[in-house]
Amino acid sequence: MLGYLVIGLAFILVALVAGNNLSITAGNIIGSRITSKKLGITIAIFGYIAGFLAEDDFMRHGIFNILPSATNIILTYMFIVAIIIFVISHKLRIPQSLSMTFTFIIIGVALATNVAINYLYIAEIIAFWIASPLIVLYLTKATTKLAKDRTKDMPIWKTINALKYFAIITTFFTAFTLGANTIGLAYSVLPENSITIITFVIAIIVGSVLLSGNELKTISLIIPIRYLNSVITETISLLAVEVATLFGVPLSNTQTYTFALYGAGAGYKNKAIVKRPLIKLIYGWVSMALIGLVIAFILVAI
Amino acid sequence: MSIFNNIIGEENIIKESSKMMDVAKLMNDEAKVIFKNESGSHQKIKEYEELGDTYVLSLLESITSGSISPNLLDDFVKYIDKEDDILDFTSNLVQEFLMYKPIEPEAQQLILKSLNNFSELNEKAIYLLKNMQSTDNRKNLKELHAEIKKVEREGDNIKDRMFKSAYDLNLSYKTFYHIIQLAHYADDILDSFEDASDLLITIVFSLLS
Repeated sequence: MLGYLVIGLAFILVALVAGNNLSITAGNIIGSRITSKKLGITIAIFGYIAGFLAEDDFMRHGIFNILPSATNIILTYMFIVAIIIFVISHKLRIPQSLSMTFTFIIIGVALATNVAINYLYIAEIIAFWIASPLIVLYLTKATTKLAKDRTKDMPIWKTINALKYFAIITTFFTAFTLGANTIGLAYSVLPENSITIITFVIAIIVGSVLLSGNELKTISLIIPIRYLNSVITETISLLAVEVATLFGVPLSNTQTYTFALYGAGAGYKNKAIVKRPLIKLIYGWVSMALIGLVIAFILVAI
Repeated sequence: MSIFNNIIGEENIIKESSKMMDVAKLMNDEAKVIFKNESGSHQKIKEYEELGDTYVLSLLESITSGSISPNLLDDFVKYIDKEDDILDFTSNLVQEFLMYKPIEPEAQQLILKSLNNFSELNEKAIYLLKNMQSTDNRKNLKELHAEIKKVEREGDNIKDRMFKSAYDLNLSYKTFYHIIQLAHYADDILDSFEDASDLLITIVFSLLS
């Protein structure tokens, strides 16, 4: 019975994540009208599912270092805490980082159950979380400047049209990396079987279609995005997450993409970047993750 | 295929907008004939203006139908409006010309000479703006834009000379007012060319930035 409850809660969480992160994956191509909303969401759904099915093992091997196994009751607590945090974020219209939140929840559970944690792996995670956004920011800034120089003599319309096609491709692969890393993270604590996989696939579809509206607005406040820097920010962000996935490290698409946006903005000569949404986002990520750790620890310890 | 239309949305609109320049050329050629004959009918000009209005409606529909990036929607609408202004001001100019013939021969000479010069400049501006709409080269786009600005400045000089002559000559008030109105309408046409080219270059460079 509890097993079904866990699957049900996992369904809800994955649906929330898929919807919550649609602004990062397909926001650009939908917002700039390269595709319709329906087509943008469809591309993202295919990307999520492809990434989840192709690379879910990497996150399982990584998370084994913190929590090799968990009972259904512990899994129930974990997913309930994660869902509560996500619902709050959804109401506040903050794109939430499941990677950070769920990782802290897993750590909270591991601490409460006195599991032998591989602290080297935790150090690796923290190193990735600190280094990746900074690397992404500076890489995006440098690439934006280089790209502008390289494309300035290219034919106007061929360049613009090529960038739009590229944006569609990067949308698919951004969703792919999110499916592999973030959704793969949720799958990593559950039993490996076809029922779980089918549940996750259906949750991705439901969440993407029904739960993506509000978050699109917050991301669009940070900087008005153009085709060239949209392609650059998405590409660098997804590469960072893919590298993290291959190392089995949970890394948030939301964080890498947000810092890439700032890097793109910094690459402009005359910049008008609104810092307040970033501060709001960072505050949201960190506070929610810590709250998740504390609540998970308390629930399991009790 | 709708996704393909969205990919080339901005390019399509700009290339479609060159139809307005085709209409502007027809109106300018007709205006030249009217100025040369010192008489004629406004009817054909009006028909061309109405044709331009149908193109405007079609372009505005394409712009708002979803193939244009939302942050450029306003600029696109203003750009189409400016092209429409070129046609409207040409119609006003011809209408004003036909409304009154000065009895002072020196005034009529001044008007004909100035309007012929303006027509030549309009023809040049039409050619330049059409090329801006079809070019795929950034450097070429900037050069054409700079040329349109030069043409507009030449138009300002002709307008200033018309004003000066109007004040210097001993004219009836009706003739004086007629010359001033013609100068303003003719100058408005070239101002609209400049504004349209400013908007076009802004749109293209913001797509590429």
